Amino acid sequence: MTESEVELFYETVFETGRNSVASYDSDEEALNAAREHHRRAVHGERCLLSEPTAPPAERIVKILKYKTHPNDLNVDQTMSEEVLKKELSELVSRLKDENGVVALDQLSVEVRGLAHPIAVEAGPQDSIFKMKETGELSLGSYDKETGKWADN
Amino acid sequence: MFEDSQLIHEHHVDEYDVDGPLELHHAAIAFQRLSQLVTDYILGASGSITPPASWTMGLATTNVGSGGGTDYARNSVWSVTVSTTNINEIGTTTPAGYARQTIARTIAGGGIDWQASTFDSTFATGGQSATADQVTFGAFSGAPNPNGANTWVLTDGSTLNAGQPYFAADTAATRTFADGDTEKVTPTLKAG
Repeated sequence: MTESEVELFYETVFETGRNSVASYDSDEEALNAAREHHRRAVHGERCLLSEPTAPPAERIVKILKYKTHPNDLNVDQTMSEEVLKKELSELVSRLKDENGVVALDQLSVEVRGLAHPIAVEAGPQDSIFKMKETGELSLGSYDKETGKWADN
Repeated sequence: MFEDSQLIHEHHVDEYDVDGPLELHHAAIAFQRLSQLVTDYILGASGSITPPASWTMGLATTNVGSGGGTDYARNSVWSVTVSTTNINEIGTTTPAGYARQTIARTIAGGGIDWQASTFDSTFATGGQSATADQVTFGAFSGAPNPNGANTWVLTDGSTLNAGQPYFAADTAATRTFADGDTEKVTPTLKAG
């Protein structure tokens, strides 16, 4: 597989705090799609042109790039013995009460959460994924009067 | 209401509601794996039939239908082949911005996950309902191939036309995508 055939994934962060993951062949394709959607938002157009009652398009604040789908952080839900022991030790320390007792139901929920790909502490305009992005695209700035984009 | 929000009743698969002032009844279905999670994982603590690390949402060209030869069946599977009861995903030849969206296996935990569930005590149609945060597909860079989403499917994994399907419902109308479009889906599961 050549580099041009590698599937690329991009996380779009909207001004509203929503996120989406998209697959494109290139940065250029990703940027063009994002710019068209952002342009619609600036002009008060709808997010889905084929649907007259669709909600408004949303401005885009961030485009993050990944080599794989960021959902695939730990699909197999496995962990090395060494890492698991460390994680378990930290979880037990965090969950124990003043008498040193740990609720097993709570512990099992936290252990299960070790494989979750979504970061619960994400801010409203941050990536929602634990996977670290490999890059970020610059949307540039849009001039509503001229309808032209300028690279930042 | 535009948003593709559907309510699935696990054992009444013809139930379909849209949140908001309108109430529509589009086809919905709970697939075998969802029932198997209840019987094997919930009841029996199975170590082999287990939930995924996270849920994902996909869009399919095919319809839920009503149990006919080319409609979805309880044991439907994802497949690139459009025939019999297969679930065929959009964007598999040309994604043009399409990818599956992730829904975390948490309740009100941040990111995109499930909201606190509610209970309906109605004998015939009641049950416990859970609604996820809205997911957004796109922005599309052009027309994906295949194009035209007729259902959304709660599934797992990010590989197209693969993974376990759990439940699905028809979109309010066929959604065809073009450059700059996004699509929003808010799924609800009502189990009873």
